[in-house]
Order: sequence, then structure tokens, then C-alpha cells
Amino acid sequence: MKLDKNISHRPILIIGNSHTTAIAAALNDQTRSIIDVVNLASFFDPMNRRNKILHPDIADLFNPKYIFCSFGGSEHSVFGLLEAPTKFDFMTENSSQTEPDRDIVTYGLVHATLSQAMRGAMFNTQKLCTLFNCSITHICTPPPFRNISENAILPRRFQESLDLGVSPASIRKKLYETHSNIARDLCASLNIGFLDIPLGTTDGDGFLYSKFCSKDPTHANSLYGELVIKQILEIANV
Amino acid sequence: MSKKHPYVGMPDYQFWKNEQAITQPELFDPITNISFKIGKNDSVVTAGSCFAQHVAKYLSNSGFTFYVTEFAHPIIPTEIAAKFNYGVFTARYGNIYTARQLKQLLDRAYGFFEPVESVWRTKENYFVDPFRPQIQVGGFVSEAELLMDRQVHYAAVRKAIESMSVFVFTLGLTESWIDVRDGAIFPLAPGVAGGVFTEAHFAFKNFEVDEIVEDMQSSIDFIRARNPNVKFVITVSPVPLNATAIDRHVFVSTTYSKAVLRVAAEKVCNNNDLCDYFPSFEIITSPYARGRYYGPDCREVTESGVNHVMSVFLKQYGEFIGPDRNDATNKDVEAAQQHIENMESLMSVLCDEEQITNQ
Repeated sequence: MKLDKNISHRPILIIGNSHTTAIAAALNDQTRSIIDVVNLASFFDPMNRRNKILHPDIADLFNPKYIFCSFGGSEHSVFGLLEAPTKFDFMTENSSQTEPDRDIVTYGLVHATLSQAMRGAMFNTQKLCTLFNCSITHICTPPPFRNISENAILPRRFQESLDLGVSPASIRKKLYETHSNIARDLCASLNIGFLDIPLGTTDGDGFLYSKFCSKDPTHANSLYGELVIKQILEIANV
Repeated sequence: MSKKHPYVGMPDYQFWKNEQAITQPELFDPITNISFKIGKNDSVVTAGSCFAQHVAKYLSNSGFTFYVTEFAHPIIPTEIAAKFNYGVFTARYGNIYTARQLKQLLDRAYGFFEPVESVWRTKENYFVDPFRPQIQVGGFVSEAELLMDRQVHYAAVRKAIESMSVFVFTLGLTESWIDVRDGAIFPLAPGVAGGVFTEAHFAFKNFEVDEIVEDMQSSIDFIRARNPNVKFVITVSPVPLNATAIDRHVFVSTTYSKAVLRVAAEKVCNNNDLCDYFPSFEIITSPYARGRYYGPDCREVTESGVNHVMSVFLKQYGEFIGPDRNDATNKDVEAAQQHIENMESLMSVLCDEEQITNQ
């Protein structure tokens, strides 16, 4: 794939999938001058916006000192945002509490299933490490929302799929934590950084405050993006 | 007029030189009398040593109704469920190497035996079931999870016992490790895949013929008390010992162990109706095979060996070729996988709305 773009010399590259949007939306004139934000879908496939693969050409277009990546990040929602036809729950290292009247799946199975679902994102992260010889840090996916039962914030397509119901918040949170554990372990194995969520963005139970929630039930908004940019600038010391 | 000698008129299979497998090994079929057939609707349960895994796999692919009672949640992809030992046997009991292990599994599943050793820890601080230490990849995340999964497992064992038609059990070992406090038998020595070995608690045990016969008889009686019409097929694993705890050559321990198991199997089958000995051990180890059914390590049975054994099994016991009958479960899996596809599509739409960047 050959892209008709000029090489960028901005010191910071933020690259990933849909979760980069909150960051892009939070850029101002000052940060825009030092940060590139690349969403794989629209960057490599501007017409259809379906691309999920990190193409090697990216290395010819950017020359950053710091890369912050956010590949994938919605896999836990695939499995647990809405109820499955056969409802399930699972225990974790930290919690043996489960919701009543559900099949209990072991953590190992959940972990293995999510890991499989995250293979594409993990492959992109690994590939990034081979393409760039600079500091690379993975941005943790935003935490789950406590309450997504208000139809007002749900896209129409999502509302059409609500017949099975939204999964209990406790299950969505455990799936998110498992997702984050897998990402954290990958970062450790690749010897890259892991940027945890910004302080002060969650309530006491670890759910994202509603002021940081976007209009859909999986992404954070630009206010959250601002805080992530602040974290990034501190790390990059720019 | 009397016979010249007692062998006159006996069938060819009773005479070595008349065996066609001497020149055509693939034709070796030592089955001469079976006491039942396995029909299309007969639920076949398998258990035993690692060779029994081959039996289970073949049964599930050959039209027998390989009966599975313990399933992963339908949202779990099939290949991941298989890695976690779902469908390897009827339930997730793992390898059952000895007759005493089988007896104790039944007792545990029905609440008649609660071993002192309940949970082992791994080096990584996860939790392992001492009686199926390799069933959960990486171990269980907590003691509570292990205990929960054990109850699900026991329910699956009870369901299998009470509703199966045929039980195929493969005797594998005589050597074992016992908890001297309560007699619990472990499939692996404590310390190998979890737990800590202490001589005060654990000891080596090499079962003898009478003990194995007694344990098998106890298991058959236990099962038939709950499911009187079950038919049994008893086999002996042809896989040599991986290691012996006795100070002698592993092959000498192997021949002893297999001889004991073979005699025990003969006795058990002679003592019970509708209980057949199936000579998988003989098919693999006979001189007719000329050793070709063992892999490069001289221990693992090759695919062609398993195929020979199971084609004889199918020929002798199979009355049919039919689909397996886990239709209800397959529907659950289909519904769950459809749900995942829908959710992936939905997430893609949601993410599609989030495409704006500064590039």
C-alpha cells in the first residue's frame, strides 16, 4: 500500500482504532502541532473506513520519538456489553461474587476467549514494535460505564439489539479488567509501557464517570481525551 | 467316533499358524465373541488412561453417540473449549489411570468420599484439583472457582452414570500415589502438577490383581445400582509406562503392570454379564504388528494403530452409522456464536462512528 502523504516530524504519534477519537477530538492548536493521531480505519481506508490492519508503510510516514497506541479495545464489549443468549458470569482473582441464575464460566476460559478476540489488536501492537525504534506505550481502554440503560444515549442500531438486555455492570467491569490484564501482560512481554487510565475519571467502583462518557456505550469523550493527552505530555516531557 | 485329539475341529483363530495377519497385519481382528452390539441411540461414555482419549476421539468421529455431559459455555469457541479438555472424555475427569481412581471418582461425585486433599496450589499461585490436576489450563483463579467447577463436574459425572448405555473403560496403570491419611489416589504424584510432596502424607502404591478386580467390581456394581442396563467394554492401554517409581527398568515395570491389568480385566469380564474385554492391547502389541503401531519414541501409539483398533471396534460393535445427538447443545453454541457475530458487527458500527482524527 502506497500512501500519498508527506512524512510527519511531530514528536508524538497516537495510533489505534476507534478509541483514538476521544484524543483527536481533544487536540487544540498547541497539541496539534506536536501530536499526530492516526485511526487505522480512516487513515488506510478513507473511503470505507474498514481497515483494521497496521500497514508497514506507516513507518515511512512518521518519525516520532514517542508512540502511544490504542489498538482494539472493544473486544470485552463484544462478549459482555449485551447479555448472551445463555447468560453467564465468572469469578476473578479479586472477586468470587457472581450474579444469580447464570452459568459460571471459569476465568481461564474467559481469559483465553478474550485473548483470542484480541489477537488482531495484539498483532498490530507487536508489529508496531518491529516498525519503530522509539518509546512505545499502550493506552489502556477507557473503563466501562456504570449505567447504559438509558436509551437516550444508545445509537439506534444498538437499541434494536437490546432484546437480550444489557449485561450487569459487575460483569462488564470484570470483562474490562480481564481485557486490561491481557493488554498489560502483552506490554510486559513486549517491554513497552502501559498507560493506565487518568486519575479521577472513575467512581469508587471503577466505572467511568458519566461526564467522560461518549454518546455510545463503549467510548470515552473528548474531556477524557484531554486527560489522556495530559498524561502523554507528561511522559513525553514535551 | 471320538476325536483324534481335543484340538480337532476348533476354529482357525485358535491356531497361530492359521492367522492371516502373519502376512497381512492390517487384517488382524482377535475378536471372537461379543455379548452385545452398540446401537445408534446408545450413549457411549469413555474413561481411562491416555489411550482412552484416542477411543473417545474416534467414537465421536465415527457415528457412535459419544456421550458428552460437561460442556463449556456456548459463548466459548470450540477450539478453546477443547484446550480446556471439554469433550476429551464424557466429562472433564481427565485421565483415570487406575481402577481405584474410577471407584473414588464415583464416590466423590455422589458425595460418599471427601478427600483430605481438596485443593493444590501451583508455583504461580493458581489452584489445581488434585484429582484432575491438568484439566484447567493454567489452573483455577481461586479456590472458590475450583470448588464451583468441581460441583459442575460432579453433576456431569452423575448425569453420565445415570443415563449412559455403554461404558468403555481403559485400564492404564497399576502404579499410583496414595494419600495415607484417607486412601485417596492421585493421577499424578503430588508435586508434579501442583501440591507439595511429603512422605508423611503420600506413598507409592502398586496395585495387585485382586485389588483391581475388587475396585472394578465395586464400580460396576455402583453404576448398575443407578443404571441397571449399562453394558461395559473393558480394555487395557497398550501405552508403556512413562516412568516407574520402582527401582528397576521401566519396561520391566511395564510388563508387570500390563500383565496385572490384563488378568484383572479378564476376571472382571468373566464375573459380569454384558461386560466384554476388548483387545486393543493385543492389536497394538501383537507380533503381527511388528512394532509398527508405536511412534518414534516407542511409546506413543500411532494414528494407524488407533485406526486399526477402532475399525475393529466399529466392525464388531457398531450396528449403524449415525449422527451424534448433541443437537440441543449445538443449537446453544450456534445461538451464542451468532450473538458474538452480531455483537462484533454492532461494535464495528459503534466504532465506525468514531473515525474522526487529525489525519
